[in-house]
Amino acid sequence: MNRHLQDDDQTFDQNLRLIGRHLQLPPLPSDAQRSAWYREPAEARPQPTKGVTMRSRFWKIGPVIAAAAIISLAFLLPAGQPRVEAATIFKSLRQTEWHGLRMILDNLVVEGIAIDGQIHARFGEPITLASLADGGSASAVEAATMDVSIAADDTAEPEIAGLDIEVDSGLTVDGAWMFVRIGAMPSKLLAAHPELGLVQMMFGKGVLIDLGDMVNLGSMLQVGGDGPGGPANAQSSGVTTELVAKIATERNDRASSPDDSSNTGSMSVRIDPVTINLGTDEDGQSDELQQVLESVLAGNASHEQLERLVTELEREAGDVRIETLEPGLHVLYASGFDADDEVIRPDSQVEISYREGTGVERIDVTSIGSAAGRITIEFTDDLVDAMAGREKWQEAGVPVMDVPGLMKMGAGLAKP
Amino acid sequence: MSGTAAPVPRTAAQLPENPVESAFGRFGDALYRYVFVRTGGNADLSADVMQQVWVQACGADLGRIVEDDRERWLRRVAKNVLITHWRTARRRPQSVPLVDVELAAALSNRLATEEIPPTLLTRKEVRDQLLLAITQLSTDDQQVIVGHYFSGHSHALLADELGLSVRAVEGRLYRARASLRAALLHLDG
Repeated sequence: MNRHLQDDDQTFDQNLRLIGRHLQLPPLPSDAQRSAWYREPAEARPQPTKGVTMRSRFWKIGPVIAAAAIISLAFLLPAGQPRVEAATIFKSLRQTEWHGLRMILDNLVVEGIAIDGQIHARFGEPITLASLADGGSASAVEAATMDVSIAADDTAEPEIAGLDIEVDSGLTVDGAWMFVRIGAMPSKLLAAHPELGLVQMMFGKGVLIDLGDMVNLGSMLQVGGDGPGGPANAQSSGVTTELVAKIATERNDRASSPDDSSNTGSMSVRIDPVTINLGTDEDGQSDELQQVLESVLAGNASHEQLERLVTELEREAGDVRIETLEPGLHVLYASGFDADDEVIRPDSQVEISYREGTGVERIDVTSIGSAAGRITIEFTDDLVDAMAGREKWQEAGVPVMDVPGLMKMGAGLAKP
Repeated sequence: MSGTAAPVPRTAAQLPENPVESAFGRFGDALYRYVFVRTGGNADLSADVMQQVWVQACGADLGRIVEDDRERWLRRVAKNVLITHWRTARRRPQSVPLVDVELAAALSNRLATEEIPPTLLTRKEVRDQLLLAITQLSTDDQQVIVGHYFSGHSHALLADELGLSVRAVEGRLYRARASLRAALLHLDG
C-alpha cells in the first residue's frame, strides 16, 4: 500500500479515478490555435522618464483632441484660403450647442486598473466646446447616469490593488439612486481593517441604495470647473471629467466624529485614476501652449497661434488625415503618437467626427491602455433616462437600502 | 471531444529565451483550459482572451516577475480579461459555469470522506465545480492529476514522462490532490 495515502486521501484518490472516467476535460489547444495567440510583440518601448505621471500621458492626447478639431477646419478649407479663417469659422461654430455629453470607457486598462463604463449627462444650460474648456464656469447637470466597473489587479498600485467594484447610478433633480457591488476591497485596506470584510460581504452581490432627494446633483457629477469632493485645482483651466464613486461605510458602533475615518472604519473610494483630462494639465506643459489652446478653443486665436497648434499636432501625431464618410461628415484621424509603456500604444488613434453645420459630434481615442481599450466622447441632445437602471436592479431583486427612510426612522427614534 | 491529454511538458532547453514566449510555452496549455472552462467552452472567445493575455504579457515586463509567479500572473490577467468581457457583455451564457461556494465546499468534503455515486457526476453543477477546480490547478499539478486520473497513466509511466522517480510522482500526486481539495474551497470563477 502506498505510504503516502491516508484514509481521506485514499477515498479522494478513489473518487478521482471515478471522476477521471466520467468527466470530460476541455481540449488542449491545437498548434494552429497556439499560433493564433502570438501576435508580434511590440518593439521595446523606452521607459517613461522619471516624474512622468498618468495625467501627463493623457495630456499628450488631450490637447491634440481639441486641437485636431480646430485643425480639421484648416484641412477642410478650400485650397488657397488662409488658415486664419479657421478661427473665424470656428468662432461661428462654437455657437453650436449640445445639451448633453456621453462618455464611454471600453476596456480601459492602465497600470493594472481595468475600467469599463459610461457616463451620460444632460445639462440645464447647453454646453459648447468652449464652455467645456473654460475651467471657470460649470454647467448645471439636469440628469445623469453613471455605470462604471473598476477592477484593480495585483499589479496595480498597492492602495488599490485587489479592488473590484461596480457602481451604477442615476441622478435627477427629483432624486437619486445608486447600485453598488463590491466584489473585493483593496487587499491592503482589508488587511489593515479586517472588519471591512463585513461590508464586502454586505455589498458582495450588490445593494440598491435609494438616496431620494438627499444628493445634490452638483456634488456627484460636474463637467467643467472643479470636480466634486476633491481639492479645488485652481491651476487647471482645462476640462476635467472625473468619475467619482464615493462609498462611505461606517461601522455600527461608530463612536467618534464622522470625519474621523481612521476610527470609524469608513472607507471612501475615489476613482482618481479615471480622471480624464481633455484639456490642459499643469504637469509638464508650457504656459504658452496652454494659452494657444485656450485662444483657439475660444475662437480668437491668431494666425501664428494656429500655426503653433498645427506644429504641435504634427509633432505629436505622426500621421493626420481626413476622410469624408458621407456628404457633410468628415472624420479626422490622428495616429502615430509617441508610445509609452502604459497608455499610448503604437497604434493609438484619435478620431474626430465633424459634421458641417453642427460641429464636432464625437471623439474616439482608440487602442489605449494595455488592453487596447477605447474612450468615446459624444456630444448629444439625447434625454437621460436616469431611472431605467433602478428599475432593472429592482426587477433583479437586489436588496434595497432606503436611506431617506432610514434617516427618518433614526430621527424618530432619537426623539425624546 | 478529446480532453484527456495532459499538458505536454517541455524542458528548460526547449523553451525560448523570451520570457513571454517561455511562459506561454510552459503554462499556455493549462491557461487555455482555465479560460476555456470559464467561457463555457467558447473556443473563439477563449482564443481572443489568450491573445489579450499575450498582448498584456508583452506589454508588461514579465522578466521582472519571478518565474514561479509568472503562471499566477498570467492567470490573474486572464481572469481580469474575462471579468471585463462579462461586464461588457452584461449577460453570461448559461453554458458558462458559475461558482457555487456551498456545493464546491460540500464536494471537497464529500470526495474525501465517502465514495461518491457515478450519478452525482451527471449533474451539470457538480461537473462545473470540478472543472473550475481542476483547471484552477497549476500546470504542474494538472500534469499529474490529468495524466494519472484522466489519461490513466501509471506512476511509473508518469515518472518516465516527467523525468522523475516513482516516489517523486507519488509525492506530487499527493500534493496535487491536496491542491484540488483546496481549490474546491476557494474557487476562481
